[in-house]
Amino acid sequence: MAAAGGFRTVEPLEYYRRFLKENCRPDGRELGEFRTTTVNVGSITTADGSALVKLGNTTVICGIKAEFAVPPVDSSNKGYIVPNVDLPLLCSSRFRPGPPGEEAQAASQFMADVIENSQVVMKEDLCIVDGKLAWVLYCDMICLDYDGNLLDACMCAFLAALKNVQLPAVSINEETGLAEVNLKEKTPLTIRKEPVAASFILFDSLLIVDPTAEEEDLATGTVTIVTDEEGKLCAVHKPGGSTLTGAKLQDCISRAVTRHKEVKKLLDKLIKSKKAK
Amino acid sequence: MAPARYCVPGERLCSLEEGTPGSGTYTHHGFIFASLAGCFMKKSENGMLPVVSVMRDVDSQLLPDVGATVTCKVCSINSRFAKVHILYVGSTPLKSPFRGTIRREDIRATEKDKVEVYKSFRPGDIVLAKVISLGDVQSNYLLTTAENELGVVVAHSEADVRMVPISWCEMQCPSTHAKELRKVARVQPEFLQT
Amino acid sequence: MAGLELLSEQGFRLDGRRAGELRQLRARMGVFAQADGSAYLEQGNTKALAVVYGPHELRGSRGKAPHAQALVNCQYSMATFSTAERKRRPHGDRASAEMSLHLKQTFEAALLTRLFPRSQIDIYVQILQADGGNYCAAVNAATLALLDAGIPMRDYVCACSAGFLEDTALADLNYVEEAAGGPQLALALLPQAQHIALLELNARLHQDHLPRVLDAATQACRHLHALLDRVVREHLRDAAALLGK
Repeated sequence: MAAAGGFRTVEPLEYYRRFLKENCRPDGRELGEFRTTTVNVGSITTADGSALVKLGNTTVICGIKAEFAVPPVDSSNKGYIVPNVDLPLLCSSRFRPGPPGEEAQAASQFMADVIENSQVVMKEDLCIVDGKLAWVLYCDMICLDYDGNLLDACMCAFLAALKNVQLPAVSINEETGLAEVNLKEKTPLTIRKEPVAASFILFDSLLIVDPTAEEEDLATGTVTIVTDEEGKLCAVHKPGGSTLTGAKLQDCISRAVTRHKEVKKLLDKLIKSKKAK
Repeated sequence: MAPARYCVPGERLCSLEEGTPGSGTYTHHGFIFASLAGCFMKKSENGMLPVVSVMRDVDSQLLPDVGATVTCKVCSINSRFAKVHILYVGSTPLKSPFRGTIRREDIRATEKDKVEVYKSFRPGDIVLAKVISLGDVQSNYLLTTAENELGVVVAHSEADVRMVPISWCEMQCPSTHAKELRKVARVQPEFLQT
Repeated sequence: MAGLELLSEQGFRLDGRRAGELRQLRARMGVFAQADGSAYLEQGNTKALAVVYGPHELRGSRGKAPHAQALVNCQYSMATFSTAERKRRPHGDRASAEMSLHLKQTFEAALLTRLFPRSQIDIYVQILQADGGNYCAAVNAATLALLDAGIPMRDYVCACSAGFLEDTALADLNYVEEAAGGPQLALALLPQAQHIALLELNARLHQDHLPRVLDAATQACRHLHALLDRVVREHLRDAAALLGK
């Protein structure tokens, strides 16, 4: 047992290759298998919507807070959605103290792009009074435990938290011109599209799904595919790394579509059980 | 087996007259207190006072101590020293590697001035070494390989194949048959694995 | 003061507790795989997460490290969605820096740092939901995380807050009671030896009332110690059962 641990530290590539020869991975999964996903919504009562997602060991919590803002001048009937991914020091010993590192910034930018392109929520729905008042949704995703595949977990947490958001009814007092919030009347958001991400790594010309942190370190390239509920592509993210043939990319896309169905079933079951309470 | 008795930090275990403090305990005002949350153990040696200790199921992090034999991986070399990452202390792996330095004069016991670091270690080698100092403000852990049993255990040739030791200062690549210079550790025959 | 009655005539507080009663405590140890030790603690609606790494190699300037002792590095941060108003800076602002320093000083008193010279122990606390007693929840969660990591400690560190209203000492204040503006005392105690690691009092309090408030806080800490002890022993039993002993 100590010898196996030793081999793993000293020659991680060889250790990993021996598992791949048997068509499985060190944690016992197959090459195309995702880790167990658990989702929990509504645990943070100070946030307007919250969700906690555990993808194997990777844990991400998403809290959404809604505030008032003035709509932008060029599109006066739109609100804002501001995502932010935070990788604090506690999630893994690999992160150093200081301003957000490139991984956190890249993840935040990825989330912003997907939200913009997939039109998860129509920004027009967030407008209260044209040109004067709109909602801004601050979506903060904090990674509590980093064990690889951050983007999938963030996407899932974000979607689950959005489904959990309840916005209060707002009316404008005609005399004072100020907004009045009615906390007793709350309505959920209209979610137009449901994007779900699936990440893969490239290793020795093999495609491996849902990498752990160890596997990510050994990988030579990564691919993330985001699909929506109609099987359409929302985003394909392949930031450099080793090359991929067109056929392999097609494999990724079909695996991503299957993953979407799995996650959708999980989220629907969760929302239904929450409503039943 | 008798049910294990659990103890928590701050719990008074016994007085100094009834036992000697072992690992996971501390003494205060003539009494032995627990400092870890775990199983209470009392081992009686013949004649002497029993050793009182607290054991945990999971081993906690060990720190390299002066005189301990450690296994490390060379990360960079220059003409004066080699920088290494300490991976194992004895046979227990460390959760996060510590940094160490092997100075040029600590590589060999004899002919210290004729030593060249480039001919003793290369980046990526696995080396068995001993800790001589915990280091001060300027430096990391200081290690030495100036013994026959210490030195390179695993090395890869330029063709990235694992090499076989042929003498105390040379290793050979089995595929290209090229010889490379290293300060090789003399491994006892019973530990050799093929 | 008109408006919200923090303490009713029958002696009940806003959430139905009595003057010296603690909020409901729920805690779990060993929640994260990456960290050496971790714990999640809920004290009423305040939710705190503590993660411990170490002892490991010193990072950063070696000159600042104490000689022959481990360096205790604490960071306290609050999630942006943890308060009713969105918090713009999760950490790095002065309040968080003060909390981090308090945590560091508290744990330097309790940890046996002389066993780990030239190394570093990191304690990171994240508040997911803040409803009063943030520092106390942070200390309690950090104690459990340190126990989970197996770092030798002199004793538990239990913390609780206390206040004074209408001639009664209240224990374990929630956010509404803290915001009311009365005197607040935060106490971190090493229960077995009854040693005080940290004591902080703000707002004016007549010195005649101090012993009663201190006593209320001490009683609350002792009660907390019993609760935390139960959590730790259950965790040890479960861990042993998993290993099949």
